[in-house]
Amino acid sequence: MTNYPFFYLIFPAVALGYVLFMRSHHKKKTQEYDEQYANFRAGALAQRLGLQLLKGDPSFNFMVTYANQAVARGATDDKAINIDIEMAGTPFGVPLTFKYLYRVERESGFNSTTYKTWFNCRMAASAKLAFPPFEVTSRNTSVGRIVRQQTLPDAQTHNPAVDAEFQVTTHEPALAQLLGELLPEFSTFGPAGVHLLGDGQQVSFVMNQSTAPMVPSALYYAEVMTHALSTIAQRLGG
Amino acid sequence: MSALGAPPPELPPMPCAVCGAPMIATEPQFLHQDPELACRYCGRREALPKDAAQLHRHVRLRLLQLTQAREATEAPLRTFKMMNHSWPQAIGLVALMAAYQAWSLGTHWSNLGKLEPSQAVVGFVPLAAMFGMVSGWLGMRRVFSRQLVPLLRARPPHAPGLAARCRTCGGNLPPVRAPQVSCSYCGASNLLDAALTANAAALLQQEAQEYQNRLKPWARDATLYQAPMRAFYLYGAAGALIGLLLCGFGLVLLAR
Repeated sequence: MTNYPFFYLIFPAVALGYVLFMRSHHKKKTQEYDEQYANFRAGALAQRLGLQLLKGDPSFNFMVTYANQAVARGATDDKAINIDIEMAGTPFGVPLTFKYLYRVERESGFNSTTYKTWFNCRMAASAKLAFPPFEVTSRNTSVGRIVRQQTLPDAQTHNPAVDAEFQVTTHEPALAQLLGELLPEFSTFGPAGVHLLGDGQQVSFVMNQSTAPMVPSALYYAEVMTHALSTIAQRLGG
Repeated sequence: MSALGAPPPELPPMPCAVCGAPMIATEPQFLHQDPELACRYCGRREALPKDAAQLHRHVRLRLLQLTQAREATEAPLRTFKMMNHSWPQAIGLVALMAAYQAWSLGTHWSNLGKLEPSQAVVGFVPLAAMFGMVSGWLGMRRVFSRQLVPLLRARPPHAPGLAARCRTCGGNLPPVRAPQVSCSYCGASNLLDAALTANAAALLQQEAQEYQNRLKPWARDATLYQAPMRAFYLYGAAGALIGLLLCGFGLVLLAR
């Protein structure tokens, strides 16, 4: 023992201290960010958007998801991560819903560990009348291309600024032309990206966990999103 | 009169139906809420007509979009401010390391009477890093003051005696005696410097020209606020290179 130099004993203690310090620092920073972005907690967001929280934890923060204990701890074999939030209302005269589902299950085998992840986040406005299906995606985003969900033909909106910024797909040319009038409101989203899905009854803004448009960057424009979706649903389906 | 024309006319008065005092429109907290007309004297409150409420919401939405677009565009400024404040300490630390390395190199050289190229390189790297950090920091500050300060400056008043206007939304700024002021409509921070009063006419002319330029797509640069950081890397690399060359040149002179 006496042959070991002094720093051989000091280094592990310093490393352990550093790890503990970093853990406590990370925890403190997470709390700070959670406070800083308190208006993105489910309860506060619902109030801001004129929606009612129907399901889920009102303190779940969409900007700082790891502030949630279950997310920070991670999934275990016994306990899955399950964040299921739903809010609804009619802030601009059109029924609007916001759904967020994040579920992770873990199964540990003899020589492998399997994670199963479910993720769905979208804000949807319902139209009174049915309309032809369509899909709108931003041509350029800061985190790569947006994957389309429907196979529809490209359509021109006859608004050069909109056509340059968004790719509109639909079978109905008149619908594309109408979208040419309505989509400029989504220009605010810029590089965060826009992914609109019209399924014939609802117009949804689809958000993703790791590809554009990502939840935090899209929800930064939550008010604009609710207003623009309501306007589209009103114009499309009365 | 300036190139931008006359200031917009004020709204007509809205007298209270009970006491006749001027009513004011309350500012709703959220976008989906409608404003009300409120009397500060008798306390009467009444809803705005639907079309007026819609117009009010339209204006608030426009201001919100403007604020969010400005925050997204100006996000690189946060990095600049953070580096601008913390860099002098970092430069001091690297300067200490460089001084120690130079001293160590000099001692080694004088003791042995010769110097291997690899030892010289090891000695010069901290010196070059220090040169790079200093020149990068200075270059970043220069680009900020030249290119970005004019963009952060408030817009001059339409006429002498009127309020200065917000650089983002054009709203009247509150009368304060401070180097900068936040707009009460869109929250943008506006610089108030001497140029605002000394060159008001020229700035008004420049503003009109700027609106003309914005119509040309090639005149827009979405990454303009990243200019200080780009300058930091460019000037930093140039400074480090010059530092290395100077060290090498100094070494050659000393060797002779």
